[in-house]
Amino acid sequence: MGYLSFLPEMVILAFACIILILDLFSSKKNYFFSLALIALVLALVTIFLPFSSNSNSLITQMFFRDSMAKFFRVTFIVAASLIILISNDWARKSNFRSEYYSFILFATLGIMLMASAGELVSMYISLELTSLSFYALVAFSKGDLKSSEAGLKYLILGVISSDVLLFGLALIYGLTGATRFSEIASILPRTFSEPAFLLSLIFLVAGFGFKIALVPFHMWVPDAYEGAPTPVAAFMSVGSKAAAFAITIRIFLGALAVAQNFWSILLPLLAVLSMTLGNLVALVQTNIKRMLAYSSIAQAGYVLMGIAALSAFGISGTLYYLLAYTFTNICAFAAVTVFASQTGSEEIKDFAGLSQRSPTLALALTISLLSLAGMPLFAGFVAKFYIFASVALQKLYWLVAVALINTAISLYYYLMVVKQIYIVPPVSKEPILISLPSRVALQLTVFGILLLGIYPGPFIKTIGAITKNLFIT
Amino acid sequence: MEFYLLDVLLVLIFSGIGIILIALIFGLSKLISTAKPSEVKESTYECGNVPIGESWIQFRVRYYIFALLFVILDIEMIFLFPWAIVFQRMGLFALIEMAIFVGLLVVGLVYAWRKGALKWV
Amino acid sequence: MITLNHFLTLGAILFCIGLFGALSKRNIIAIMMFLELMTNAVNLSLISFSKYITPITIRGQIFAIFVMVVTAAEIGLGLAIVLCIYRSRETTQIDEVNLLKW
Repeated sequence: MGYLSFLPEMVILAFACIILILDLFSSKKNYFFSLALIALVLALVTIFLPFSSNSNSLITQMFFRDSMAKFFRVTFIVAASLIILISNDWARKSNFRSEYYSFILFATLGIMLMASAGELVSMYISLELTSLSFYALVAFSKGDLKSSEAGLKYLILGVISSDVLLFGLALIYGLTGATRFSEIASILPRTFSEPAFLLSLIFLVAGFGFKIALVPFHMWVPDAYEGAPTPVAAFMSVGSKAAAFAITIRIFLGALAVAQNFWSILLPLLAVLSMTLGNLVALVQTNIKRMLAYSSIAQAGYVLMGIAALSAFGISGTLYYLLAYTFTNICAFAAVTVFASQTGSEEIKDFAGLSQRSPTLALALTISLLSLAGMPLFAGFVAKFYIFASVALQKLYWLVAVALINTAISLYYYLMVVKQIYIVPPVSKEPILISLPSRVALQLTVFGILLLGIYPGPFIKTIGAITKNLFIT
Repeated sequence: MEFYLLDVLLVLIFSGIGIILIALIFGLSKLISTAKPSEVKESTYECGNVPIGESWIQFRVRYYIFALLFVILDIEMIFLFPWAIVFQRMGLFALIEMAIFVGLLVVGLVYAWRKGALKWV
Repeated sequence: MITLNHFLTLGAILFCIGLFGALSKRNIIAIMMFLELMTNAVNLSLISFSKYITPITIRGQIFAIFVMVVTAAEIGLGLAIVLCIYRSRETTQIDEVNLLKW
């Protein structure tokens, strides 16, 4: 039986239900936070238990249990734990604490399953589990009109994109008669001449482009991030994006690898569009969450370059980038969460003089922004270097040039925030207090950023071992 | 191709007969019946009650919540059909699996019930 | 004779009607209905693929069942958000919901 290898997922599902039910029968509301953390820690432990997954039961045919799945599952659980740590300040004020934490757990479950899906149906369901949890989470602040509106916009556009993606999947199924990625890869070469195949490719790229937030399909991102509770925006930007990248790698380099000539031209194009537009629009933002939203669109462009390189080296770069991005972006959003929960403002100009109000917070935010910009010493630098090198090795020099120009542009708006923090004098001198969970989250993420930036060796080695067997061509 | 044309022809003939029949019945009733309209006769029939106000009104929001709950729980039952077909072949395993599935649905229902979504106020 | 192509054409037409409606309607409830139409168009294609291409392993039909359930959940969630907006805004017109821009 391969069921035991799904123990982490089962633990998370069970705890999500338990949290919902416990809320109905108890009047105390303050232990859901620790319950959710316990769930994630338990899940993390069970991932490393040596259960065999080689059996031929139905469920192990639907989901991969390979080292890449393991990499993503560990990353997601760590990310979700950090998100729960930074949620505490915000969730304490909410009337729906148990629902919030159980939705976070459901979303974690969704992205974990997404990263390991090996078949069209399981992929679609895990994708929808993720999306549904995030629709609900974005619209979570019930009284807040912005939140409801963001949820509505995200939901409508999300459902449209899911339908488009689904149509593409249906066509693939119709052309091959198979739903498992490996079967599709073996039957697909017979159907290249069909125009329907091109149509399905376009639909797939559009659907995944939406979930990753690449440029022609990015319209929902700034609205959803601005309206969503800040920890949720953080989770969306790292969790659902990385999971969508995982599934893209699996589908395009697994199931559709034989059709490389048809889709490989699209990826550099989308990457360039996302980077350029994301960075240019981020320049003029005044709300920091909106700025981070556009910056996340640009970051998605960089990550896509790794896939566009079409090599094991490039995929390693992608995985490393996603890992670095997880810590970096959660750190940035954590700082914004703390700041916003104390001052009630998310405008960049209100960050003036933050270094005098809270040196710790200022330092954490600065480190994360510099890492996002790709400065040396920080995780972002190694990640960018890794990806740019893999693209250069494939002789796509123009793409590297565009990416370098974009990095320079992005440095400008990240440094503008740093300037606000350190140089512009503060409006009020009132110090900003950081609660214990947020402090722990900030310390962990900063530690992660520095570790990945200064001592990347072991991580690169692990990731290299993962991607070595993955690439077929 | 011939079969196809024949199908179309059949549909055409059928719809033609339908239209003629309806026209015939309505024409006959128009010819035979007497018409003496009055205010009471012209008003909308509502099971004997006197109708109040417009018929294009907004429903109470409560209806939607009930409808939502019904639709979601109802649709989930779709899984019971394929399950029933393979049940004999899979035996105990299928039973346990469906028990887990229905258990999850019950969690949802209990949640809705305890939160007061099933109360009609 | 009705072939696979007829079903696929119908599916594609329904999909396009749904997409057009979802992008052009102003009432949120109407948009939700068009979204349903899109999903059902895909379901139609899935089921006809299943019938004509893999009549023995009925994967397409299983897929369609899952899609139906997921869509019900999506629309349920969507209407819940609409209720939320309606309670505070007294509107279900999409262009009157306009706090977030650029």
